[in-house]
Amino acid sequence: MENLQKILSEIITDFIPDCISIKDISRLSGGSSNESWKIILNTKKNKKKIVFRRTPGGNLKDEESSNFVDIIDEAKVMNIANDYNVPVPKIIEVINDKNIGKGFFMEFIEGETLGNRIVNSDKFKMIRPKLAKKCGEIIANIHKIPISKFDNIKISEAEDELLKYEEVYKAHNQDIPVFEYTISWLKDNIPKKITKKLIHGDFRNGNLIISNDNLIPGVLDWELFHIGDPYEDLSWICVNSWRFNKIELPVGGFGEREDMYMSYEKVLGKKLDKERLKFWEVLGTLKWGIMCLNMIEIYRSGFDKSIDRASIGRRSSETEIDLIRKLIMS
Amino acid sequence: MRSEPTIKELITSITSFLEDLNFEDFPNTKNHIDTLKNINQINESKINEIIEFINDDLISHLTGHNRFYAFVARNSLQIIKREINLINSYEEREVIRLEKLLNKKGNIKDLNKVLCKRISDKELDRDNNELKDHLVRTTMAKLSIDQPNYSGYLKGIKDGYSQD
Repeated sequence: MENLQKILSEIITDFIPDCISIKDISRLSGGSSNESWKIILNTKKNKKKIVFRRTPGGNLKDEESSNFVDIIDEAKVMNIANDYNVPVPKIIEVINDKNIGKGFFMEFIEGETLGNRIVNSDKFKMIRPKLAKKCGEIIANIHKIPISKFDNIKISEAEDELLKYEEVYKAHNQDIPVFEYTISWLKDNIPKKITKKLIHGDFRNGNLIISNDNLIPGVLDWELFHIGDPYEDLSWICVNSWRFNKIELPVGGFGEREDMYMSYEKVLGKKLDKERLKFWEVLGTLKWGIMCLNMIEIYRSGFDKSIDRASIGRRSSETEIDLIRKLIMS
Repeated sequence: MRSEPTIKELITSITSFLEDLNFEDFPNTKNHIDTLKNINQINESKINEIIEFINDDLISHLTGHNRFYAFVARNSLQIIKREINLINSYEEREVIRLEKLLNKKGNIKDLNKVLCKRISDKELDRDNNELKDHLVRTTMAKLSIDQPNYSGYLKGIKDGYSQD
């Protein structure tokens, strides 16, 4: 870390000329594959906070890395999102440095990102009921970004996503009847093709900055963005795993579905299809369950022998009861 | 059927966490590692002793990542304890249901393999009530071991889902 601080202090004045020194750097928590560091700078006038995000060096990437876009593209999509009124931290500089790798510097936005606090803290009591509507607007604005802005970005629609995760499940080699039941249901309910959009790919409570001043001043973690079915973004945030035990509030554990859907429909001027929303919520739930199984494989491979990597496998059954509720008991 | 990672894998992960601690700060750690390594002798009272050690010695003194790991270790030990206590009777009932549903004898692993294949091949209809009841009961049993505080499980209890 000292080394990183030293290297950063050498390059940072190239694009922040009034920076005198780096006061402190600390790793920001988050389950994403890329590392984020909070940097406090001493400038000529005052102290300033920024964030440095980079791809961990070489072999640090885990087995899911094939899903992630290049970090340079992550910066690019954030810049374009900003042009389309999507709240994102502004990109300050993109770098590709032989010592610290590829990454970018971005603005630090004050607010809360921990899902648990967002759904429970009294501090956010007044704004929680407004967040679902805001999510609908933001997602609609993301979906307004023309896909022509990008070359070579992965296209993944319902069938591709389903087949990809079915493969991961089969590779784990454990027979889970509820997953089999769900896969069978999904295959019979694949939505008809519709106009593909640029989608965030991981739009959920935990990747949103929440603030009392302006509700959602930033959407983070764009590393899974791709071209696909826009309903994926609207449903992923409703998967029960992202409600942080507030099951009665489907949108991220803080809001109502109708608030989100109505504001989305208002911005884009079209009615949402409830069946399609259900399909993507079921698929999202299954995906998280299979990702938990994959954690067991990562633990077994010896790549990461940590206790939390092992134990998260036991969270896969949470998605089974959610699937039962959506498909059998509804 | 038992969830994964297995009890053995969970115990190995807890052991590795304890082995990484500074034994001078926590001299009792070694005894607990020995207990965990003697996996065939593990029982509820031994697990309770380790949970007590984690609560009294570790959680109150550790900071940062290691403190977080101590919480995870305690949670894993509670899963192990519940599995040891409950799994045999759950599996017995699961096998009885499976044999009836599939009209076939066998062990739990093989029967689940057949069940998955029949669902996938649609030999068993997704609307089959016996199948649906089996899936609900098996899943509720699984959650009562893995994550009994999970909102989806608690809602299942509240809404009167069938349970063993």
